[in-house]
Amino acid sequence: MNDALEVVDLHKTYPEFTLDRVSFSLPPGYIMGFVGQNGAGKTTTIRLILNMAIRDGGEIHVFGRDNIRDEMAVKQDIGTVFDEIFFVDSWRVREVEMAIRRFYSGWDSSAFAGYLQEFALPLGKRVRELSRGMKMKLMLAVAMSHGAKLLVLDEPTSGLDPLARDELLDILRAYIADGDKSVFFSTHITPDLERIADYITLIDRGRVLYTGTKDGLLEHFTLVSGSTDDLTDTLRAGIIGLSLTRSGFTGLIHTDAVKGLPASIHTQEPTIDDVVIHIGKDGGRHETDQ
Amino acid sequence: MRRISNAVRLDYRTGRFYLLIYPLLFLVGLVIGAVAKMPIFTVVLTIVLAVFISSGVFSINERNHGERLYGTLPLARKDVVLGRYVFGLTIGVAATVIAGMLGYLASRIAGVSMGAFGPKGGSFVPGYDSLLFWAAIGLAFCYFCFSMAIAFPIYFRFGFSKSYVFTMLPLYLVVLATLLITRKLNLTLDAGSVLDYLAGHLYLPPIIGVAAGLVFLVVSFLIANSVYARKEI
Repeated sequence: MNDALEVVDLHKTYPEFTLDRVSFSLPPGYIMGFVGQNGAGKTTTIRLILNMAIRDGGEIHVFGRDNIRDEMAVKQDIGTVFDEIFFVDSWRVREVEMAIRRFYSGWDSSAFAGYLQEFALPLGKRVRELSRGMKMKLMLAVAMSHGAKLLVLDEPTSGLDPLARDELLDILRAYIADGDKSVFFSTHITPDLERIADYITLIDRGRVLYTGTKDGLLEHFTLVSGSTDDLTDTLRAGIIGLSLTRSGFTGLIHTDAVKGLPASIHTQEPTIDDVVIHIGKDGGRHETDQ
Repeated sequence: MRRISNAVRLDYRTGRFYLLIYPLLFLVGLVIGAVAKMPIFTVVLTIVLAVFISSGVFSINERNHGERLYGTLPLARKDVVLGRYVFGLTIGVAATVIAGMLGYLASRIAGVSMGAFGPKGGSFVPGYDSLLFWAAIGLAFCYFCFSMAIAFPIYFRFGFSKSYVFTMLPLYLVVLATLLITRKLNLTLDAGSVLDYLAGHLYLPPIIGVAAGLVFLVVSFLIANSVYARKEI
């Protein structure tokens, strides 16, 4: 069975930023979190997937089809949500369907009506009158009403309050429940990923540092802390994103380097946030094996 | 074909605000044309306003991240560009027809001929009133297409807010060209025979205007298509 999304050696150069041979794949029926700091290359990757930016090299396949050669068919299969709503702000909620439905062969008006009801979106309200959470739900309702098998979401939870974020995550979880649909979800709010992601791709400064299961990521790294006396030169060289205080240090190391550490050094499984923060601090000095 | 008609419909839904509001200003042109006893002024104002209306979709799209919407839909970039030109051309054709009707109405209200030009309702070129009117219609359509032809590729490349001043650029160019031509050339030379010929073939000025306008648009479309194909949305 084809992957829902397969990105191979994706390359794109701008004057001040390079997306450097990005590769990852997302099997059908799962949620992948695409995580990294602002400016890491998440939105660029998503724009390349949607052929909104022009790649310099590499390949992108959606359910086995090339995203440029088979662009029309691929886009029938993709539902998209961006961090900012892209419907005209003077449209009423009901007009959004009138504007969009003709583009999709699989548009399901009853499904759309069902989502509007479920999300409590008032038909007569104008887009500009909706709260940020409601705008996000409206985009999701459109994205899920044309039979899309892959949802691509770019920072959908940024700016949402915790309750709205929680609702959004529940919607996504329900969406993939049938096992055929997948979600590719970029964010820098990593606690959301802890809750729903099956796979994580970690990107930093245009390079993928890790791609694989969420559990694999957390097993891949170990958070270490100790007193400054324990910080030998060898250990210092192996630490990613070293933080020094008067009383001691913290940092991230590859789990296979834990063996041989003195017992006085405290080790614990990191959160995704820990991984992102320490890799961000590191400034890309460490190579991260995948 | 279906994708292009969908793109035109989406442009219509996007720019509908401009389509509803700006045409009200046509009535201002009608009143001024009738009061000043210059129906051609009504024609000119209607077309200048139509140029703004056709640009409205770029403005609204820019304010609402519309390029992202078009980028996510199953639409090729060429469909987006062609749809926008068809949408603009439809406005141009409708505006030209409306301009003609309002010009006629202005002439009836003022009780002057359609080619009348001046506060007393006198002729600009005596004996050629009808020719002047039809020439104005042809030139109006041609001007609309010329404006679109210059502005659209620039909007596709740079966006509306960075380049909206170019909406008026074609008008400045036309005024400049007219000044240069009338200063450098002695238009009275052989003008009589040309005017006589055109007055005897009143269908020619609009046909010439439409043909020239369409040539502008085809060239412009090719440029815009090439520009948008390489654009990072």
